[in-house]
Amino acid sequence: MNVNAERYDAIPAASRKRRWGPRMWPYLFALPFVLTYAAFQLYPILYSFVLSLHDWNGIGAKTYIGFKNYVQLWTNDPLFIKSLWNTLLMMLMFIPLTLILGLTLAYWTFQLTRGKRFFQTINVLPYITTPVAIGFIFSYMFDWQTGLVNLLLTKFGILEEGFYWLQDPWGSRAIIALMVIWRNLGYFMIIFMAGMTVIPQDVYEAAKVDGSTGLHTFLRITMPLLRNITVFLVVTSMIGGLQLFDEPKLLYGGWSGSAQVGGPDNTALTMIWKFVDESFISNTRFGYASAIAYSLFLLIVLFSVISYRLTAPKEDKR
Amino acid sequence: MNNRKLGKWVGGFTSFALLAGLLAACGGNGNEASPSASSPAAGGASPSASAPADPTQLSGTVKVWDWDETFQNGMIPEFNKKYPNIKVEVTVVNPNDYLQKLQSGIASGSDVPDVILGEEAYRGKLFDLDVLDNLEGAPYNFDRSGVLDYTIPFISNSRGEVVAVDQAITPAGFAYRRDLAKQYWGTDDPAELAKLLSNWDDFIAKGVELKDKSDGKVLMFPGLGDAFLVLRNQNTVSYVNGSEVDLTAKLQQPIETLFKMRDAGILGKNELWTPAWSASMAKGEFMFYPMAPWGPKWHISANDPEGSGRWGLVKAPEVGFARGGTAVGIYKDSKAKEAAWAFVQFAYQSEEGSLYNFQTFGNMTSNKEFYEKQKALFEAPGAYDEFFGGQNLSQYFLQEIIPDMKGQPQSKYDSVVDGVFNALYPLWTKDASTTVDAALEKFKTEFKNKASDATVK
Repeated sequence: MNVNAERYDAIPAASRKRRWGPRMWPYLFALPFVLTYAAFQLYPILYSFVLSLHDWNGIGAKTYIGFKNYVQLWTNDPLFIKSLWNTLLMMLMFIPLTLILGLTLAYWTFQLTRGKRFFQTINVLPYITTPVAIGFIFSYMFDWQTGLVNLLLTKFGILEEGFYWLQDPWGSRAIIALMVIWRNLGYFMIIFMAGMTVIPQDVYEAAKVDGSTGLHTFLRITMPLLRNITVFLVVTSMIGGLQLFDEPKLLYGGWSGSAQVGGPDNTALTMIWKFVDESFISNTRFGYASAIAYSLFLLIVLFSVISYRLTAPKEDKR
Repeated sequence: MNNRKLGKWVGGFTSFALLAGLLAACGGNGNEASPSASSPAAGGASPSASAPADPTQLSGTVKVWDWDETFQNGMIPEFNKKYPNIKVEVTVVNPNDYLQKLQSGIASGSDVPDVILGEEAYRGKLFDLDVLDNLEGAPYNFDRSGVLDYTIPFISNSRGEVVAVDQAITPAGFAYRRDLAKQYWGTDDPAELAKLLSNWDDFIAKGVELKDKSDGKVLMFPGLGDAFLVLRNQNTVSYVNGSEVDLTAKLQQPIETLFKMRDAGILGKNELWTPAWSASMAKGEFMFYPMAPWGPKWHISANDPEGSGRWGLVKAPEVGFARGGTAVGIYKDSKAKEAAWAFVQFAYQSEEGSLYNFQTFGNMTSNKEFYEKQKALFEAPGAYDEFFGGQNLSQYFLQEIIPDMKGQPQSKYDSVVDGVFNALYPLWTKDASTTVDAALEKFKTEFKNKASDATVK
C-alpha cells in the first residue's frame, strides 16, 4: 500500500478530486480483507493472549491470574517440555530427509523423457490422501500382532517375534516421521520441479560447453539456483513441523472410543496434541491451553527466523 | 461521475455494514461473562405439575445432540404420537468430540442443545462442568427411587444431585465361547461356569488349565485392556474427594489382580478395539469378552457374524460391573425445559418409550416399574438369545448380574484415569517385568502430569 501511495505522490496531481479518489479506493478494496483478518485472525490472536492470563474452563467465571499459566507451563509441566522435545526430534528426523529425498526425486523425475507425468502423479497421491486414511494404513502396517511389517520380518526370519513398533519410544517417533515423509515427499518434489523449470536452459548449455557433467552440474548449478525454493520449503516445513498433530493423533487415536493420548510413555506427544489434550481431552483448561498456543506461536516465530537466517542467501539476510 | 459517486457510497456503506456485523459478532463472543438471566422462568405454562395433564398442551422445539441417528429417527415419531406439538430437532454429533463441541457452543454463546448426552468416556467431566439441571427440582420432579438403585451414582454429580437419566442400563458380564468351554472345561452351562469362576483366584486357576490343555492356543482375555476394565469397574470405591484423588484405593487391587493374570500367562497381547482384537472373536483364540446389553449387537455378532449359537453369557467372578453407558441430561439454561423433559422422560423412562426402546433397539430402561409391569416381555426370547445358544440374556442380566451391583460415583478425573490407563497398559503388555508398585507409581506420576490441580494418594 505504501508503494502505491509513493507512486501516486510522484505523479503530478491533476486535481484535488482526482487525488482523493484513487487514494480512497485501495483502502476500500482492502477493507473486506482487513476486516475479515481482524475478526478471524487478529482478534482471536489477541483474545487468546488475554485468555492465557486467565484460569477458565470455558463455562464458569474467568479468573485473572497474570502470567501464572506461563510460569507453570515452562517450569512445572514436564509433559510440555517433553512434547516440545518430541516435536523437535521428529522434525529433525523428517525435515532433512524429506528435503534430500524430494530434491533427488525431483531431479530424477525431471530428467525423465518418458513417464514423467505418471511418476509425478504417483508421488503426489499421498499428499492428497486424507490424514485419517494414512493413520489407518500405518497403524495396520505396524500393528504388533497382525501388522504387515512384522509379518514380513518374521517370515523372512529377520525377527523371531514381531516388534512392538507403536509402543517403542523410538519406533513411535520413527513411524510418525515416516508418515510425514511419505505424505510430503510428493509435494516437495513438485515444488522442486517447479523451481527446476525456471532455471534457464542456457546456463546448463554453458556448463556443458565448459565440461561440467552429472553430479557436478547438479551440485554447482541446480542446487544453488534452487536455494530460494529450499528456503521456502525449510521455513514452511518448520512451521508445519511445530504444528505436527494429525499424524500422531491418527496413528494412536484412529480406532474407536479408547483413544490413547501421547503414544507410549508420551513419546509421540506433540505440542499441539498437548494443547488439544489440555483444552478438550484430559482437561478443560482453556486459559492454560491458550498459554501453550501462545508459547507455540512465539516458538514458531523464533524457529522461522532462525531457519530463514540459516538457509537464505547472504544478500537477503537483512 | 454520478455513477462513480454512487458506487463509492455503496462501497463505503457495504464496508461499514460488514464492519458492524463483524464487531457485533465479536461482541457476542466477548460477553460470555454475563449468563443469560432468562433461564428459570422459561416456559411458564405449568410450573409445578411434574407431568402435564394433557400432553397436547405442551409445545416448543427441543434440540438434541445425539450420535445415534437411527434411535432418534425411530423414537421421535413415537414421541410425537403422544406430544404432537413438540418438535424435536436432532443434530448428529460424534461422541469423540461431543464435549468439545458442547464447550465451544457454551463458551461462544452460540448453539447449545436442550438435551445433552454424556457418554461414559466424558460423563464425569460433563457433570463437573455444572451445565446440567438438577432433575429432582422443578419442573422435572424426577424421583430417584423410581430407578434401579445401582444406577444412581452414575447419574449424580459430585454434589449428589441427580442430573441425568440413563439412556439404557449397562450391567455387564462375560460373553464366552460355548464351544471352547465345553471342549476344555467340560461344560458350557452358565450356572456351572459361574460356580467354577466364583472368584478371581479360581478364574486364574481355570485360565492356567485352559492354557495348558490347549497348548497355549486359547487364553482367557484378548488383552490387559479387557481384563482391567472389568477389575476397575468392579471396584466402585469413591476415590475422589474434591481435588484429593486416592488412586491407591481405586487401582492397587485391580492392578494386583491384573498382573497376577498377566504373570500366569492367561492374557493375550491385543489392544482394545484394534483389528486384531476384533478378529479374535471369530477365531476362537480367547474365552471371554466383557459384555453389557449393547454387546451382543455391536460387539459380538458384529465381529463374529457366523457365530450364532456358540456364545454364552456368564457373570464375572465376585461381583457384577458396569460397562459403558450414556446419561441424558437437560441444559440448565434451556429455554424449553418442560418440552425437553417430556421428551427425555418419554424416551428413556416412560412405559411406552421403554417398550419401544427394548423391542426396537434392545435398550433396557433404568425404570424399576417397567420391569414389574412387563415381566412377560423379558421372559419371552429376545433378539439375540438365539445367537447366545438360546440363553435368555435380559433375564440373566436382571436376575444374575444386577442384584449385587454397585454404581461408581462420577468424577472429572475418571477420564484422566482412563487416558492414563490407555497409555500405560500397552507398556505393561510389552514389558511383563513391571511390578505392581512400579506400575502404580508410574500411574500416579502420569496422572499428576495431566491433572496438576489434584493431590494424589
